[in-house]
Amino acid sequence: MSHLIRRLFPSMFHRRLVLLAGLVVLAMAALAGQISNLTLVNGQMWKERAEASLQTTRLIPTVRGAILDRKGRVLAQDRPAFDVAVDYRVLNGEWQYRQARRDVFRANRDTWRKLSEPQRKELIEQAQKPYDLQADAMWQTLADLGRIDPAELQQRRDRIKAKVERIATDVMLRRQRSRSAELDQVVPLAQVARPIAEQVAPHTVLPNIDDAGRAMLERLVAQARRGDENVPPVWKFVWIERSRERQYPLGDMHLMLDRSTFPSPIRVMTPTEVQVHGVAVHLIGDLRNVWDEDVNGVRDPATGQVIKPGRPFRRTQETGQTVIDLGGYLPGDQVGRWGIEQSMEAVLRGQRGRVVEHLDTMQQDRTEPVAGNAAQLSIDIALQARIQAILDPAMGLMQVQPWQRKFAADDLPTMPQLGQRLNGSAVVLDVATGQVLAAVSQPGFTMEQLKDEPQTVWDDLVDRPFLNRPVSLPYEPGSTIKPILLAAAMTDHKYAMGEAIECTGHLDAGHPGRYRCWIYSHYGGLTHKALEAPEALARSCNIFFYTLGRRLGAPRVTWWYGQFGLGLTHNCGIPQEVAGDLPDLANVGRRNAGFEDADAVQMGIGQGPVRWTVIQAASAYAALARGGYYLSPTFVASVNGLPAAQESRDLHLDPRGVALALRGLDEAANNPSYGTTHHLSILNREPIFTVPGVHVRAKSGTATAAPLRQPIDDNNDGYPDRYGPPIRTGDHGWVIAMVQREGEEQPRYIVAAVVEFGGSGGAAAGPIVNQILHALRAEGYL
Amino acid sequence: MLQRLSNIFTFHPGWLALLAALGLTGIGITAIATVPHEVDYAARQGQWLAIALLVMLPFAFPHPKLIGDASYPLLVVTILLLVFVILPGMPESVVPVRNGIRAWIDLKFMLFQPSELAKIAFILALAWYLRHRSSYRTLTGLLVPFAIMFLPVLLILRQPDLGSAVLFAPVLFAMLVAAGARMRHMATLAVLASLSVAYVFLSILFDAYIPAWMQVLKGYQRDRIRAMLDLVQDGTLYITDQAYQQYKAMTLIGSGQGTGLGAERSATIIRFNWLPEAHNDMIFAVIVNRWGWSGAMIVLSLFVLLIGSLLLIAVRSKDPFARLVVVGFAALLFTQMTINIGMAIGLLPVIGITLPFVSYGGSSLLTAFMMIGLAFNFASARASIIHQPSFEYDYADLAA
Repeated sequence: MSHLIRRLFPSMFHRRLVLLAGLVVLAMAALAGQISNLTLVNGQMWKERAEASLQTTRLIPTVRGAILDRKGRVLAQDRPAFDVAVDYRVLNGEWQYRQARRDVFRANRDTWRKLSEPQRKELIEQAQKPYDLQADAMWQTLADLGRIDPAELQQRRDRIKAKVERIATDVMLRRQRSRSAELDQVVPLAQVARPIAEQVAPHTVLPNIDDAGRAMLERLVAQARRGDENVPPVWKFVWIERSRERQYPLGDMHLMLDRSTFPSPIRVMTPTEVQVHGVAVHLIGDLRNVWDEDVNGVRDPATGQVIKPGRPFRRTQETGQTVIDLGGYLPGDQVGRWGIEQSMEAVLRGQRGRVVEHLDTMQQDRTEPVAGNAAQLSIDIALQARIQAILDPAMGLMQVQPWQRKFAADDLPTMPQLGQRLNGSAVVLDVATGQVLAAVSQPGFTMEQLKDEPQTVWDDLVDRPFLNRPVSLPYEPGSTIKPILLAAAMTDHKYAMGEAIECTGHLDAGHPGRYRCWIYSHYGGLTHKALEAPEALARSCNIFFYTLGRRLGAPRVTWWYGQFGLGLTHNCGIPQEVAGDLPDLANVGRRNAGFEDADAVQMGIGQGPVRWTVIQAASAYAALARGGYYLSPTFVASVNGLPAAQESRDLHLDPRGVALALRGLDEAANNPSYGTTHHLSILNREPIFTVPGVHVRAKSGTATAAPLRQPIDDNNDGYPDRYGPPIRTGDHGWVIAMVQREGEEQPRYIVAAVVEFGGSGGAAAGPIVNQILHALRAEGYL
Repeated sequence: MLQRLSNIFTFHPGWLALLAALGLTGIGITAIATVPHEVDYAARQGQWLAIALLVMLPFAFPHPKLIGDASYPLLVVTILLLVFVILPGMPESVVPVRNGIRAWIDLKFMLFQPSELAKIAFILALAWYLRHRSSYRTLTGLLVPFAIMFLPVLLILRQPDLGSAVLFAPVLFAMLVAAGARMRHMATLAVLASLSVAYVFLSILFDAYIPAWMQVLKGYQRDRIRAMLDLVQDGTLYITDQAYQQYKAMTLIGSGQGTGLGAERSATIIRFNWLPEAHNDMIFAVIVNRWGWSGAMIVLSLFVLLIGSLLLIAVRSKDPFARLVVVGFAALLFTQMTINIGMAIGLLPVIGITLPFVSYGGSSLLTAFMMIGLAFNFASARASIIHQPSFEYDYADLAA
């Protein structure tokens, strides 16, 4: 080989040149190869990337749908708001200085070079005065339009300046460091002192100006931009920017409360003016900024399965293509935080619009934004406010009152003391539709409180004002469950018409300490004797219902209660709703699963392994009022013009059982001698229900409640980690009423109220339900 | 004299080199016109071409010996100029600072870049030094050629202009190979160079484990190489900062596809893709975007023609000085082209190097045509009477 080369190129110099030429050819081949790879093999991909730069995309905001009450009153709406922003260069005086400098330079063009620095400075200072005056006048006008003190506006400007200068210093120092490192020598700050974006951008000085102010400003700014001589040019640097604000216009309501029908000790004969704050705040909800889980969803860390799907604005498909979902979330978007705002997020949210601008052809592809739909609630906001006022402890009904202390003998220090505020909730449900007209949770909170003192809402783990009690807190039903059980037992042939069950004070002979009747415990061994169904219900005899519970057996009691909507959530429209407690029928036969005889007996009087929310209670009573037709409760009247989806089923109750239950409820409310919900016994038998012309059927319940123990939050995460000793004990007081106008055939509304640890149901919750009936009348429902 | 003129006008490879150079400059001017700019850089480049052709003439005529005699003084002057630009306290009106680099002298009618002149002076001086010696065939004899290289390189690195500095070593290498330095010395040098390049790459890949004092490159240089490595693997990690320019260049090159986008579309695409230095260091991306793969191949072919004709001049010349000078020019132009195109297509890290004849720039166009003028001169020079053929050490090799 080498011989051949030497023969071909006898000169060594030539051979060396051939070697160099060979290197050239190799390098050329490498270059040509990569060029071919880029252009011929992957050209299409690169072309798409290059063409992507020819487009810019601008997003158009959408409008979140309104939330309305059943009468169309606006509970939540997006209100377009406009902010006034001023260019930073005017804000810090740079513009004024530059204008002056330009003027001076123009006027002294020929002599400029000869002027000394102090002379120039003096001339510029002189020339700057009119520009400073212009700017001052502008600030004064803005302060007037925004109706704020000029000093306050000055403070805002100072805050903006301080912030921007801080950022700018940081950025420049960073630039200086990196440039110095690059060059390995100290670069003076002046060399890297290019202005940062914030120093040439407008900053908001007046948020949310009113329409009149906006109109005037827009005119001024437009004139200035046109070069109108009557408007100082400084106005060119004012910008009116669109922002958005979610408003809850009926969060605070004003009403007159008539307290002339309150129980006599707290009766007030002149109507009281009441300001109700935070009306329906639990139900409507609020907005927060999106979290990563809203955008990207939540995956189970163990299995990687999607628990909650997210909705990102940009999604990269497996093919590597990016797809835009205009309805998806971008950082900074707002999303419903609880209540209807949360549950109806998909309906209310709407979809943004998009403008794709083709920079080469100046063409625009527009996708218009789609406004969010309105959601109409079943709530009557005026009724809601009225009931909220009734439940305000300041009005007296949600305080411990002497007439509630029927059995003061067994008072414990942990039981609520006289004058102490009580917690609880109340619900009004429309029988015909299953719609909730009002659902009040006491204590509540206000949006202002949430903004200014959020800890008073979130960190109060004892009273838990953030809890939407009607749907989120299950209570022991106590005697209020008895009519349900009666109708079920009758249907299952476990009780025959006319059968009398003997009350001996306790259920089992030979066990006087177990399964006792309330009358036996409280009145020194008194008994009800033999009672038939309606009277047993009216007197609320425990022995009667223990017996029915035992006859049905725990699985059957559980099944029936489930049929009435216990133990499940019902998609009522409030995401915070809970299922309450009911044994799981899948566990029948297992020990301690809630299916022992003792459970059957206890569930017969609404104790043991059963708890329901006030909404579930009202809805079960409504099923009874409909003659055995169950309709799940809902807070939503219509979405997109369609009624809310509700569960419904015929329970096929024995009509005679329903009739017996209704008669029992009638007697409980209306029989002056033994009706347990007829009068306040220690207030001279003052009647509980006082609305004329209204037919009330009602059942009280005094449910033995699990004590409330001191919650202890060791790690301060807002959730209790363990519980200390009991701090509240006693019974929850219930009253659930079916009401209708006299002469009407069917009950119209269910009114349910519970007072936590309020003691005797009739005494604690009875007057509240009565006031709700007055409220229904005041609002035209009764 | 008449003989000399007729020598010039008879056909020889110098004409081919001139033809290729003019072709490349023409393509360059058209490409520069494609890049949307407020200033009409294409027209200015046209003016520079006219000046360059004029400047070329005085280099095309004098006897090579005259040029050789001038080479040492020229190198001294160049080195003084290189010292001048980095003198501390030079006012910016004389030595403007751009991107922190002090590489220019403001002559009021043009910005003169001494490092451009240094390339030519270095090649001439080195060739003048090597022409009648054989000392470089020993290891110690290589010291002087290396010293001739190191002085200007160190001064240029002080500016700091890495792009110009890296060109010297390959040129020295090519000239030594051509002059007949021992292949095992050269091979050893090549291996050492490859090892140091490998070390640089490894120290970037494993820089977390290597202490700072063992790093050769500065942080930003390491970042650029890391960015390039990522980009070649189709990564997008750095495309908005360190690799932005290279990514955009590759985008424009790839989107040219087979035959390019044409003047109008190409101008639009370039305008909205914001390629920094599009008319200058990245002109190759503009060419491929406009004329596609075919355009790239034409440019490469013209460079092959140019370098080939320079080598041909070396082959035909008997004068050892002329031989080495032309080889040096070929090596310089080739290295510059390879690095420039290599960085545009993502094969090499980005450093500031122009594409000879094609990129916008007065200094570099002047220097390039000076080289063409000298090559033309050597191609047309009549054969000198030589006592012995130069750079033929076949038997010496055998003897060693």
